[in-house]
Amino acid sequence: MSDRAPEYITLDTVSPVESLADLHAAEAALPQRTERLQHALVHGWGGPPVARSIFVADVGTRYILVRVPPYCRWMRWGVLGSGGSGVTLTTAVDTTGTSLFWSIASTEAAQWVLGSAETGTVADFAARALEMLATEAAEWTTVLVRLYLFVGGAGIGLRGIVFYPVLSLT
Amino acid sequence: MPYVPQTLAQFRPPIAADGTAYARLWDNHDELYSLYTGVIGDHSAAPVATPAGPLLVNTWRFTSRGGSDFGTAAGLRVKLTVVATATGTGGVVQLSNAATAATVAVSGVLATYTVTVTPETADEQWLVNVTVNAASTVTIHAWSAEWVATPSAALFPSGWRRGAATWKAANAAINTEGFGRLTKGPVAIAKDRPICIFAHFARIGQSLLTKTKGRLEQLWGRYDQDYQETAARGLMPRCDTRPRTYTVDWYLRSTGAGTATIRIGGQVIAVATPNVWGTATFTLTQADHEFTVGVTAAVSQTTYFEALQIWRGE
Repeated sequence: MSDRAPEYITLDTVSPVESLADLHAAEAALPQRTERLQHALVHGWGGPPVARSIFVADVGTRYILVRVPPYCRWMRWGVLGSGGSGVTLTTAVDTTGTSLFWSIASTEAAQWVLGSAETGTVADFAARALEMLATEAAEWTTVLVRLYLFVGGAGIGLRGIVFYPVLSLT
Repeated sequence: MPYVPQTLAQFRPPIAADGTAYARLWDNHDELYSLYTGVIGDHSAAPVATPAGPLLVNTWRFTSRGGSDFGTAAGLRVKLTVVATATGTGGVVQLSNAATAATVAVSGVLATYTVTVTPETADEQWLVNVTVNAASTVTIHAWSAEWVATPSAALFPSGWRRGAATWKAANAAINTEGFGRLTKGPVAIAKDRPICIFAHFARIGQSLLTKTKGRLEQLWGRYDQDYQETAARGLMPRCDTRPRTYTVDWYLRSTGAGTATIRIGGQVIAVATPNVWGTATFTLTQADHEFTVGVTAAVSQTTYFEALQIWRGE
């Protein structure tokens, strides 16, 4: 397990910023900066968040291939519910058979609900789901995820939902 | 050899004299080029029971983009991963471009298969074809395409270069050029590597069987509706801490004179010509950007997006 959080790889020119007054600090700064950049890149920052559209009008099972970076700890998921007054998602990840439940009470015709640490049950879903996905392997791995999606409630003109896993890391 | 995280403390003087810490930096530098594989496109297919053949049962199209390095990378390949369930043994998934193709047989219960093709150029158009014989069926659940690259020792256009043995040897000099390569290497990869950050695909020709007026939600399309209405929404996730260039590629399929409009983060792209690949490039700020597509279809005609891919650029 790495001892530092990855950061975005910015595309600006990398230049030393450490003071040369402390030669020992300057000597250490360049390899440390290199390691930080390598670490950030291999974790996917400055790189490949994953989003895709999955449409389910009523109820259905979908499989998605999720690419998990090395030493991944968690991932963030987003859902676009459309046209319904209630949406329930149930996921089961690979062969563990564990079910997770995520209810969205939405009265909006179309609303983004992004998993985050501030949104109650959404965060609960995201944290548990991604804990199961976090392989913490040394290399990129492709994980097959089974999603069981149910669109329900008293919605009028329910058109379905779109499910997006969005790659994120601590 | 995978990337191996290093502790930062080992670089504080006095540094171990055996040089292993620096050698590891170079090994990771080399490893990152192949590890940072570019996603070309992902699709989660609605499971459709296919009839027994012999016939072509499913086809998707997608396009690939390459950075400047990919014109010189040795062993550049497109790898397709397919999740499928099949009955019988006649199911075949083919990945093809204009010049070449490769196949993988699929059979049995839910399983993952891969097939790899070496393209002649990085920017190509691809087809995923699924065929069965008279005694088999195939259900495709998901597929994902990605670049696989093995770098040569040459200096790449992006400025990235593999570490030579002399850099890693014991008592090797630690100089400005070496650290220039190391510190700029990850940036060069992140800047050059093409990444598809959003993808939508619909099976070719499937909507031609649909004759219900109005919405074709799953296809991002419309049937017999000559006024434009939002056909789909999507999210383009945040990719950077600064404004960045993005490219969208699309293939709008229409049996008539269908049109579409793509709206992304304030950009409005009018699609006037169907049945050809189209592309547009623009710059967006550092945020998640929601986007919408609107579609029109002439009387008794069908229009939908067979492919829409958004790429992160420089």
